[in-house]
Amino acid sequence: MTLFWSVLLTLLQLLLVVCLAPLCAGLRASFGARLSGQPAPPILRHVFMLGRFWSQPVSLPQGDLPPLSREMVARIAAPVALGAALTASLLLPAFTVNLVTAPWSDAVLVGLLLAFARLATRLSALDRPAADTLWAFGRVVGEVMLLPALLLLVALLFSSGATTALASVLAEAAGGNPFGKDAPLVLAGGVILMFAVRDREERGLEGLGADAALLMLAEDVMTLAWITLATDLMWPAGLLAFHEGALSFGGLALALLCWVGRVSAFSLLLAAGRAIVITPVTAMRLRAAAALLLALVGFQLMTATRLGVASAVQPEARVPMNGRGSPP
Amino acid sequence: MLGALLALGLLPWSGSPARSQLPGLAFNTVQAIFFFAFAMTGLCAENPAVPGRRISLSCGAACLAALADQPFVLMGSGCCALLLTLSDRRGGARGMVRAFFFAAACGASVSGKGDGLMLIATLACLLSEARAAPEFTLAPLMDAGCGLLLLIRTQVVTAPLGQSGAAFVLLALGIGLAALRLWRALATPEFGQAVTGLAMLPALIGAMTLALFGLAHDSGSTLTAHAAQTALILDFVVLWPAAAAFLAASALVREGAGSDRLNAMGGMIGLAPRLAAMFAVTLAGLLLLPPTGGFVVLWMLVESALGLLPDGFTAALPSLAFLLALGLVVALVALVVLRLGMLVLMGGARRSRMAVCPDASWFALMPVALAAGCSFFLSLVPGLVRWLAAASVEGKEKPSIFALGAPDGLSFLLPSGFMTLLFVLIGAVRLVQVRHETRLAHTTAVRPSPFGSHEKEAASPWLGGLVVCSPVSPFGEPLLWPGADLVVSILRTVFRLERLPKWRKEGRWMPGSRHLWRRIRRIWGDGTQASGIVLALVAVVLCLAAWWS
Repeated sequence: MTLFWSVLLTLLQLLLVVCLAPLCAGLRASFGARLSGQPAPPILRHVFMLGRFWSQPVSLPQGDLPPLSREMVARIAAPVALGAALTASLLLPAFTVNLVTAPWSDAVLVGLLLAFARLATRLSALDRPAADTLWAFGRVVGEVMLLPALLLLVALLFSSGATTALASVLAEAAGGNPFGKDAPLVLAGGVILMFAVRDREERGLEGLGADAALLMLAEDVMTLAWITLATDLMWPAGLLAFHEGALSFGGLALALLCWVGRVSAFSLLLAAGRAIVITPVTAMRLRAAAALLLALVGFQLMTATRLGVASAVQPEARVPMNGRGSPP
Repeated sequence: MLGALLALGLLPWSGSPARSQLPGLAFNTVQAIFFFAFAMTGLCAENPAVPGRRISLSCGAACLAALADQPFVLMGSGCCALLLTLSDRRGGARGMVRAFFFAAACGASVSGKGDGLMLIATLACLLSEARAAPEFTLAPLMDAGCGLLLLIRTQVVTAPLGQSGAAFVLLALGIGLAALRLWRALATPEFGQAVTGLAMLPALIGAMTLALFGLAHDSGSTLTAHAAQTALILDFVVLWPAAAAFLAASALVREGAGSDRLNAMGGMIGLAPRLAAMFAVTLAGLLLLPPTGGFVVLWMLVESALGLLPDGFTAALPSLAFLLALGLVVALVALVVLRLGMLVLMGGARRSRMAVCPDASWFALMPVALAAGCSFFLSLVPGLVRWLAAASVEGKEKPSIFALGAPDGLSFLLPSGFMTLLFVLIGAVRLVQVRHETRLAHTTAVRPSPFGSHEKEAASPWLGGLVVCSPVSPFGEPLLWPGADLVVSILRTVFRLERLPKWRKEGRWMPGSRHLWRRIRRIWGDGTQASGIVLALVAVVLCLAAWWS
């Protein structure tokens, strides 16, 4: 695989992430509303919302009034959040491990970059009167509560591949059995789905114009990145690994179809969670507890598998023989 | 600044024979790193608006202690640095206790014993609290630096933490104190205490990395020990200047706001944009998430902890508990940063004094900007210091300047690489946005305000003639800015943290405990300099006894 093709595949992934993220968000919203008995919005409604916010006129300062600090915060936070989310999604192998950014795809870096992007999207909502600020800070608390589970997940990946580099771990696990030796990675994918779970929220975006569109797109890209990482860990064989110098367009199309299919299926799975009616605080606690438990169980399973393999390959103890070649 | 850069620049010659020409002083890698950290703290302590110079003098004494080669030089200069950070008589007793334990641990180190005393002295230094006077804002960082200097000089340089027990205690102390300080920073209504709780993070991470280094050395894992050493160097080179810059910026904020109460601040973005920008930049520098410099330190710390991960679930439980606690610390840091940013920078001014907050001049902000810039640049080239240090060792392979390698040999981090990608993407998004806004501005007419024009400034006679900005909103500013300390109540709601039951509050579970505690607090709080002098004399006697034995 030449550098040219790696750069081209990376740009293709960037383009697909930007296009696919709003569609996945619309799919989740539509299916979730249908399951919970509400009128289901069209799948493309989210895309139309993005376009509507994007085409809103710029709010020019009127007279000598100083600009509101919320607008200034949103103006800085929106590009930063979207940039961080896109960077994290470029570091993730979505349909191939042969991206030009593959050497930088560290699990700690990707996870914490997505956490940073999520904090940045909340900044504009924190600069509002008390009710909205409390709502936004409560969401932030729920999101950062998952960070301890993320570090446990990193330990799990490290135990699996002796490294935290995602490309190496996934390439090594590509030929494994997800119901056997690599079952802990499926649990790791479950942990990551806890990070991705969130309802669509358009609160606190009024009057921000194009910044609101960028913030919404950043949230969609983040959710897509988490789902992609989870599905990568659950089914690493779906990633296409090109051989040296050989590029098969049929294989590339198949890998792209696999990625879209996996992401759509898990978006529907996440949307099904809306059928369970629980309060947001309970949902936060449940997500944090489930993520911790899954990570711990995955780690325990990993060590048990390792010890089992280690004991299976141990040589049998030698039995002393007598002179006729048979045991006494 | 010149001293700090000189210390880095002289690293390639730290192994030369001429490095210890002065009696009692020497120059090697560890000493250069500490010299750099203390010199950067001294740079940030230079505030032209505040006449006090005691913190600058304390930094000078600490720089001398960093270069000390003999225990008595370390004892003298370190105690001098600690005593210069004493601000008033009320906190004098605590400062004397710190100096006492510092001197005693230095004396005990001569005989090569006294791990417990050394840990107590480090703990006393790490427990340093915020001072009431704004010019002493950097004092807790200096105290903690002296404690770590003692720990590293008496244990790591001479002999690494020999027993795993001491390393485990240090690790637990570091992570526990970090969580405790950050929790207090989340709950306190005082600005000084909140910023000090956050700014002590480099010192506590330094204690954790020292403990990991001791554990790795004890287990014979050379690569992990090397990684922990790198994490320690990065902590002092990247995170320490960021913390010093943050404390200096917060001193300017406190001075401008005229109050130490968080509920009296707010809206600084609109009132003092330069100061707000510098405070926001230094605040973000302490966030342990990418793309800030703190992430480089965190990554190396996590990799060092993973390098010590043993096989087997039961054996790995302590490492998993450490990683869990580290994740909790990262989460608390993010919450503290958001809370401080929300209460200081955003919203509106909650007091009339805050509404007339003056902006800082570029001259006053220059030391802060220099320290923050230096920290950011060094986070992009994390291998620079190790590369410079390796230049003094002939025949050894020089490490990369830009990349950080983990002990597993497969994982590595290239901060400049992903930062370039990030900034290119942010720039592209911003470019598209600006072009789109320009296109829209040509097609959209400016709508006149339906409420007419507002006056820019108005004198309010009920505020004693203070000139305040007129409200931006036509119906006045919203009255419900998040000034009330609701963060703790949110955390209590989410984590189900109930208040203490009544019987425990009243102290019935241990009769007389509240009375006894109040008496201890009174004795501790009203300590005069006499108690300090007595303690210092006892320290001198103990040190002399240890010296002669």
